[in-house]
Amino acid sequence: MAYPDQLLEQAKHLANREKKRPRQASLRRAVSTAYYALFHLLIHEATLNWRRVDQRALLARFFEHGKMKAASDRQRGVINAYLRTNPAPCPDLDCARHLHHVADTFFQAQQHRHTADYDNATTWTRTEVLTLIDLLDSAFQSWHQISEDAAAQAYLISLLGNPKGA
Amino acid sequence: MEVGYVPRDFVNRQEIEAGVQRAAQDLFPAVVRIRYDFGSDWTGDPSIFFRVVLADEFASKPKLSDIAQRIALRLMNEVKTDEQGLHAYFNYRSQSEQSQLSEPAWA
Repeated sequence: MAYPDQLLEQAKHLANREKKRPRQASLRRAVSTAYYALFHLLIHEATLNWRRVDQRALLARFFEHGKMKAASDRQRGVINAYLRTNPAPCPDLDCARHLHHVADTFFQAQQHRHTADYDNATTWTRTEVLTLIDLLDSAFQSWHQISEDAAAQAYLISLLGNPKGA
Repeated sequence: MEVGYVPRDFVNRQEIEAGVQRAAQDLFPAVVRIRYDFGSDWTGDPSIFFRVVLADEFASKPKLSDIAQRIALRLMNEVKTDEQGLHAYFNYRSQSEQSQLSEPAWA
């Protein structure tokens, strides 16, 4: 099982660890782990394009949460504008919907991860956490539908930040 | 509680409240109520944080992502969060969970 899938499985385990009264520690770690599942999936997919296999782990460390958030927000905006044109059903539309789901879920999950890791005043419930995990699970499936599409690959590059001149 | 400050005139609060009410009516019976706050997200961007209480029978369904996406889409369309210059974030809990916790922010 690939590392991002392991993280997602671990998040599910943590969210369901206590049968009746889930501990806040379990729920918080589940939220954080679920976010990192998608974080590492996207980075893994991006670094697969680097021909030198032994340098992929190093390249992965150049990705930053903030830049990935900004890229995901831009991606959502572009797709929202496209969807507002009411495009006819076509493969591009399917791809756009999947990519929007991936970018939007990443955007949401990152904020939840920040709250889970740093804001001890927030009380989490199992429903909140299972909803987030289910969204991430669904985003994984969306990604696997479109990973070879040019738009999806461009999104991966954008996660590194703004190109010069943009 | 989210920290941060969204200036009073930055957003049209009446429009937002009306949009939330419309969304809540449209999403009944899955949604029991919707509460929200303004603040900044972790990178300091102006944001609206929705707290959605779900009816227990909907919160126990296996595909929670389906209903979550439907609620988020409806709220963003009714409130026009993008046009208001706000990032929208969503949290969900069931009615029975809120009954146990009795958190005023979700009541």
